[in-house]
Amino acid sequence: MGMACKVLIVEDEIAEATLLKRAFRRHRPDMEIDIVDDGGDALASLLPTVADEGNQRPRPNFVVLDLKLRRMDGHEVLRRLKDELACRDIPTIVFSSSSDPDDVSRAYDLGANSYIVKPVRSADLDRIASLMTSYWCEANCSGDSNGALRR
Amino acid sequence: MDEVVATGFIGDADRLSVVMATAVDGMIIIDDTGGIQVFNPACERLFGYRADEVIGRNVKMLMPPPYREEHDGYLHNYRESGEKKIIGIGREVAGQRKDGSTFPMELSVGEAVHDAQRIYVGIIRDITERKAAESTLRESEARMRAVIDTAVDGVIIIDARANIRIFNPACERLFGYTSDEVIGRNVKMLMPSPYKDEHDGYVSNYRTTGVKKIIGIGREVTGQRKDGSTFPMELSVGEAEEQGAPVFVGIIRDITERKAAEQEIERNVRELAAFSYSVAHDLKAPLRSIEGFSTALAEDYGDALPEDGKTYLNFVTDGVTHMGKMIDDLLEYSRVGRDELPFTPVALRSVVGNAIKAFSQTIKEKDAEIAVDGEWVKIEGHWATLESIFLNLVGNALKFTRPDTRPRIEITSKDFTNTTEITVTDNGIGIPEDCREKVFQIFHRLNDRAEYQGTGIGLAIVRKGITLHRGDIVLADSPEGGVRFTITLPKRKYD
Repeated sequence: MGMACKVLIVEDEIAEATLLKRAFRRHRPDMEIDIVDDGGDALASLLPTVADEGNQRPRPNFVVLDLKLRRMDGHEVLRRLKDELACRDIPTIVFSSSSDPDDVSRAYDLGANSYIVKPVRSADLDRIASLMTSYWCEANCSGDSNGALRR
Repeated sequence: MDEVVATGFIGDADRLSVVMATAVDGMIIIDDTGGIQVFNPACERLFGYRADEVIGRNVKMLMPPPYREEHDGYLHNYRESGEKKIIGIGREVAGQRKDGSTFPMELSVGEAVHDAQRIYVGIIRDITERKAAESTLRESEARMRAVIDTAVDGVIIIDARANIRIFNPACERLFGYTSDEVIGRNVKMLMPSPYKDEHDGYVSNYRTTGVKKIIGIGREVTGQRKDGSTFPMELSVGEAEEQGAPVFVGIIRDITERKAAEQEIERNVRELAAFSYSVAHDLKAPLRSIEGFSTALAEDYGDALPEDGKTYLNFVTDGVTHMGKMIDDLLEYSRVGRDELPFTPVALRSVVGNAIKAFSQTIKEKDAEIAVDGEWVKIEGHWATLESIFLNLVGNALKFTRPDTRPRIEITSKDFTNTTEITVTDNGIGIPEDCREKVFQIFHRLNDRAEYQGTGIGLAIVRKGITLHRGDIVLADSPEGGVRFTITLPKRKYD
């Protein structure tokens, strides 16, 4: 492992968020996991503010974003993230129970890095969590490569 | 007929008598008091009198009352005032035979002067047959008219220029116009745009190319009432000929109610599909929690649970697994026909081949024998739906086998004019007679889940898929002890 691995889960169902957190921890017990249950809170933790004074905020390696959220929905969160230069390159994985092709294509249009339909079986969830951590934390998205992408 | 010899030179008088003697029409010459002077052989045949019986007598003897009484007056009147009743005109009158019977005749009268005497020449034609034909025609026209006038369906007859000739009372009710308001006007006044504007094109196109848009076919179109409102109607148009010119007969039925009922059904089906889809979809969320946490419980704290606790937890996970399968099946079932299926030509033999291939592992394990036979055709259908039909049927045949018998499945096809028939026969455990309707119901299972796995959705999907192809499926005993499904599918897509 070695490299720090941090994820932001945007999910308003606490049960779902808990299961996902457990699945991540099974693969990376040291994983830093933040959970927010609202789109606005997600943006607040990611978008830069005046108070940042040009310093980069601590960024997650990736964001797991549910679509059906109270108040601001996932598509809108996605749109605002990808509109913001400073956040555009944070890998964002839409994780939704919807397999509606419209939802999928809209998410990709808005710049989603991946779209995964929530599985029912916990074995499938386990597999998906394993792939997410290995791909977005270990192989791909170290802080350095994020920096390279931005440039 | 009198013998007439016409050789060599014939004098004027002779020539006249030849004409008189041979004429097919009756000829009578009377003087100006009505006395008959000439009565030709055709007249003898017509009236039944010999010439010598009538010569010199008043012509009114050949007329039935009341003309008989009026005739003297006519002649007198004409002499005094010059007012002609028949002379130079010709008209239909009645004649009376010697036996008192009457007959319709066409009479034309000319006048001449002979030896300083005014004479009248009458030409008579018996029009009994023509009158009879006319009255038959009138009767049949009246009958036709009665049919058209009392028809429940609207009847419109237009000519080749699309002008309305007949507009029956049913049409008056349908369109709100009286027949006076539409007769002679172009039929497109009864159509809303854009049909209104296309109709001239149809008519002239048909006249020049013979391409029919509706004629002889019948279809659903939209009519426009006098008040501008529109309504759906079923229109069938036939072509007929009237006095050598083509006319088009349109039969119109208002299908507002039928359309509304159809739309209602369609809406209900769609709503039901959407409902079952969203129910299934929404059921997944709590299921994920139950499944996830019971697994987490077993994995993370299983060791801390006593044996009973572990057993209970197993029941939870088993139940959840089964429910998950049912929800997936329900989603699949509601997906079939939720959207308009694209139909393409599908070779049924390859569909069946694919379905068999999907079970190759099971076939090997159970040492099953599968025979495919018969005439296989292509039909217009939806590949994935047809495939799911055969996947389910073959899957069932391989699942519901007898433990002591080698499974044997026979799939044959027969080709008919408009349809194709496929039978799937097995030698499995069979389906009791009284359950043969129930097995097609969703989640209906005949067997214990421990013995034969599954949710009981298979045949529901099969029947739904076949219904979407406007086909039919029946279930009977197989001669080999199992069941035989007979599927009939139309070869062409319904409209």
